[in-house]
Amino acid sequence: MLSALVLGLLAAISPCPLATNIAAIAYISQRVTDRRYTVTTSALYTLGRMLAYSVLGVLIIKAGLEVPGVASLLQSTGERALGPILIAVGAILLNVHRLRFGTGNAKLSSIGERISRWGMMGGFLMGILFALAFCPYSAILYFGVLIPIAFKTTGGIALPAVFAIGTGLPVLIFGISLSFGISRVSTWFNTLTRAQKTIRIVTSLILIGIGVYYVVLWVQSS
Amino acid sequence: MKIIGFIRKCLLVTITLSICLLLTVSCTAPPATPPAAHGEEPTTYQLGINLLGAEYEATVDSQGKVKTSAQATSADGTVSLSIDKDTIILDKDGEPIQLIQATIDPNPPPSPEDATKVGPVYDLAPQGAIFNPPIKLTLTYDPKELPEGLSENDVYIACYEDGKWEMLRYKQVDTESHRIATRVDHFAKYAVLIPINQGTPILTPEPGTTSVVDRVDVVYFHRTNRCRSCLYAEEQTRYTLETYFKEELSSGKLTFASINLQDASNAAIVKKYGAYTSQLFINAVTGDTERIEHVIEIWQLIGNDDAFCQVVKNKVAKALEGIS
Repeated sequence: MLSALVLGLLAAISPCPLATNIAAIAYISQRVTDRRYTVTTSALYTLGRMLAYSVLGVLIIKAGLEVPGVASLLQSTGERALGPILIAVGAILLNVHRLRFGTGNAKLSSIGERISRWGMMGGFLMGILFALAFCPYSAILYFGVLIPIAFKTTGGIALPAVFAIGTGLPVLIFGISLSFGISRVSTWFNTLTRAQKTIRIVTSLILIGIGVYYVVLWVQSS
Repeated sequence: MKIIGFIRKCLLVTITLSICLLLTVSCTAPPATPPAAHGEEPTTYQLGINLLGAEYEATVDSQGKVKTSAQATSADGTVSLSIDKDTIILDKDGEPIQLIQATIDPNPPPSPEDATKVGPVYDLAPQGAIFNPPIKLTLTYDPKELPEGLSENDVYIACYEDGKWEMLRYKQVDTESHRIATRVDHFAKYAVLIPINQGTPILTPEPGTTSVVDRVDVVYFHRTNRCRSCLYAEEQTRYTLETYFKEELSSGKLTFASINLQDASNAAIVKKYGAYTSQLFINAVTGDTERIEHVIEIWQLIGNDDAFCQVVKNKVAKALEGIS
């Protein structure tokens, strides 16, 4: 059990998977002033990872999915899909910010509200997506180390979920500490709105930046 | 108070940005330090090596690590030791050693039931000294001393400890110069033996150099996009092989290949190993049989040069000796 958590952490802090976690942190901190939002979204992000890894684990352990095939497929798709998706999310965030702060009209803010609700679900989707976009290192830890252990242990089916908690832990910790740190200054409204604005722009730029990085990698390799 | 809030905000943004920057740099740049940069110890001393009176020296640091490789042969050429650079030599209590020596045992133990001694018994001292990785011990034998009808290829080196002989499975016999080499990981009494029970030849003899496995292939797979950890794993594996198995690599007994999974021309070998991402395999080839081991332990040792090296070294050494 513990080793699965440690493996997850190992995967989370190695450079390549860390990129996805940074993106998640950036995404979560876009509404850094809303404590509930940051905690819920980081939790949903981790849940998304748990779901993805568990389903994959069940498919391999119970349904006998062939590891080499599925691992290669996920890595190849991950390499290609991740960049464009990150750029898209970053761009959407930038636009949303302009809409809300540009006109301040009631209709537009209700759209903003809706998108911010999607924001929490977005964390969940991001969790699933990032979990499935295997880097070579996370692939070897998941398919090469974790799955063989899961095969051998009774109750091994729970291990992928524990692994997922490990991979999501940095985001979870960051999300929670961020919310606590910021909530202390939340009495000064002006600073807050300005902070929100800056953080939003930085968030989008980070997402687009990481997205471009993945696209460049993909273009280079093909 | 506003100022504090603003400072916090700036701090947050700076931290996030710097993490990102760090990340991009670490992802794109190859490992900054070559894996060869193992910790240098400032204090060194000379380890004395005395083989039947012939004296040699090797520079060793305070941790017992040999700084330069050493070759030592007795004056009559009957005993040789070959110690690789970075071998750690410690006594049985884990303390560094000042002198290692080989003498002929004046009161040799009796031969085991199923074999007979060919030549003297060598007492390698201090007893219990440990070598990591194992060092190469070469002994000569006189073919005239072999019992009638026995082949030179049947000789082996055995270790005498706790009142019994134990055969060392790894051996290289050179029937032209009548020398036999093995690897020893600790000091005890050693001698060349030959089985006298003809019914059960222990090793399949082949002319020239023989050992249990024919060849060991170390194969490293990777994808076109390389991550830092994957580059590290390949570099560190390569370093380990080139440092500790130079002879085996040049003789072709050990091979190393780095293979791109996504290159269509490698499809056959990828399928044979069942590779799907950055993976290291060790394949011990004996005749038509291949025993492939997928080495997964290394992935939890990324960045830990010594431990990584140790795992690869031990696995390859075992594969070469034919131990599963």
